This record gives sequence, structure tokens and C-alpha cells, in this order.
Amino acid sequence: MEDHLIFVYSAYCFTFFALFIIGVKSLLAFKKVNKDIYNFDIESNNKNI
Amino acid sequence: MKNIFNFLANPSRFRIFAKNVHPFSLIGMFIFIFIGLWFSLYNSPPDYQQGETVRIMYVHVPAAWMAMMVYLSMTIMSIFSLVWRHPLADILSKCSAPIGAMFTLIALVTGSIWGKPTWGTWWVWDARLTSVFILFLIYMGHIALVRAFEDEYKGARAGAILTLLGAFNLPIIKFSVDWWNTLHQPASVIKLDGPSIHIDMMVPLVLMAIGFLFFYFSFLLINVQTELNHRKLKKLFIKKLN
Repeated sequence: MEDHLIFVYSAYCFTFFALFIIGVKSLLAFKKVNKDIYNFDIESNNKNI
Repeated sequence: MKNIFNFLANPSRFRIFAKNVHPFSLIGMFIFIFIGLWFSLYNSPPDYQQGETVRIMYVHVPAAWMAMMVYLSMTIMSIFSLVWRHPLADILSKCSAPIGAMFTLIALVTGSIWGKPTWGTWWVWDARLTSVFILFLIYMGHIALVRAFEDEYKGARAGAILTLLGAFNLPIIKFSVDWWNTLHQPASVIKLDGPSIHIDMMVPLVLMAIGFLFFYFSFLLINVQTELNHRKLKKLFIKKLN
């Protein structure tokens, strides 16, 4: 049965890798859009000056 | 529920709600997943037949539950979207789809990994596995369809119709093991005559399921804020061009 531990660890590694990927992807997209809004505001303010 | 929806439909109010709720959701996610992992890997007994491989159940089953629950929530959002044309319902549905697809993929892959030592095969086209695979394809179709339209409203409408059509797959997934003779085992937790699983195995299963639920809620809030900011940016550009 000990041989089957590789299956257990593979399943857990895949699960948390997949959750990590979707989490990081969401956070990066959130940061990017916030940065774009910030840059847009700066650009608009500079043009108004 | 409609009143809560109307209250949160305002982007500023939703941002305040998300800002206040998100830290608690993240903390809940880490606590439940951490304790769930401890129970799953160290503090639950091996199965008398399957041995240690039964531990795959503690990620496989909660992921499968989440795959169906996220789709059910998308179905409810689609009804809100089509009947009341609620903008927040569109956004919630759009932002739920990638997370639901990922949970479905986790259920499929971990199920396949569990299948090899217990059934002797990675995959079999039985009713349960095939219907979950169809759910994954519907998720992918929804993600592609919603983003295929230039007009967000048209994309959301097409996505809502697809979600409602795909909702027929949910009872098929749930009852496939009863309706057909499948290699997949029948339900042992969510069934009419109560769970038949031992409490020592039930505890890690529930803890992981709550942890996954918090994960969904945490990243849904982030995705919705991203989408709201994306739409705000789009409006600012259009305003600037005019």
C-alpha cells in the first residue's frame, strides 16, 4: 500500500498547484487593472495641467 | 436576496463590501484548508480496503461539490440576469466560471489519479465521469463565449443562455450513479437516508469543503473587483475619446 502514497501526494500537489495558479492569476489581473486606472488618472491630470 | 443584490449593484457599495469582507474570507480559507489538510493527511484513518489512497477523497470530493455548487450559483445568476437584467449577476457569473472550471479540472484529475490504484485504470467513459467532463466543457464554452463579444451585454446574455441550457447536466451528474451501472461509487454523503461515511472521514471532508468554499468566495470578490475596474477603465477611455 505504501507504493500508492505517490498517487496521494500527486493528487494533493495537483490540487494546490491548480488553486495557486488561479489565485495568482486573479491577483495579477487585479493589480494590473488597478495600475492601468492609476496610470490613466496620472495621464489625464498631466494633460489637464 | 433580490434586495441584497440591488444594494450591491452599485459598484462603490460593492467595493466597500468586498474590502470589508475579503480579509475575513481569506483568513477563513487559510484556517479551514490548513486544519483540513492536517486532518486529511495525518489525523484520519486509512480505509480498510483502499488503504492510504482514500486520502485523495478529501480533495477530490470537495472539488467535485464546488464544481457543481459554482455552476448552480451561475445558473441562479443567469436567471437574475435574463429576468431582471441585473448587471451584477452578469459579472458574478462571468467571474465564477474560471474558478468553477478549475474545480472541475481538479475533480477530474484527482479522480483519475484515484482511479488508477483502485480501479486499475486512469479513465473510463462511465456516466459520472463523462457528465463531469461535459460540465468542464460547458465551463470552457462559457468562458470563451462571454469574452467573444465586443458588447459585454450581448456576451453576458449568450453566456446566461448557455448556462441555463447546461444546467440540465447537474441532475445527470448527481443521479448518474443511480440511473446507470457505473464504475464510480454511489453517493455516500449527500443522500436521502443520511451519510454512510464514518465521522473520522466526514470531518476532514467537511473542513476541506468549507476551505474550498472560502477560496471560491475570496477569489470571486477579487475577480468581480477586477471586472468592475476593467469596465470603469473602458468607460474612462470612451469618455476621453469623446
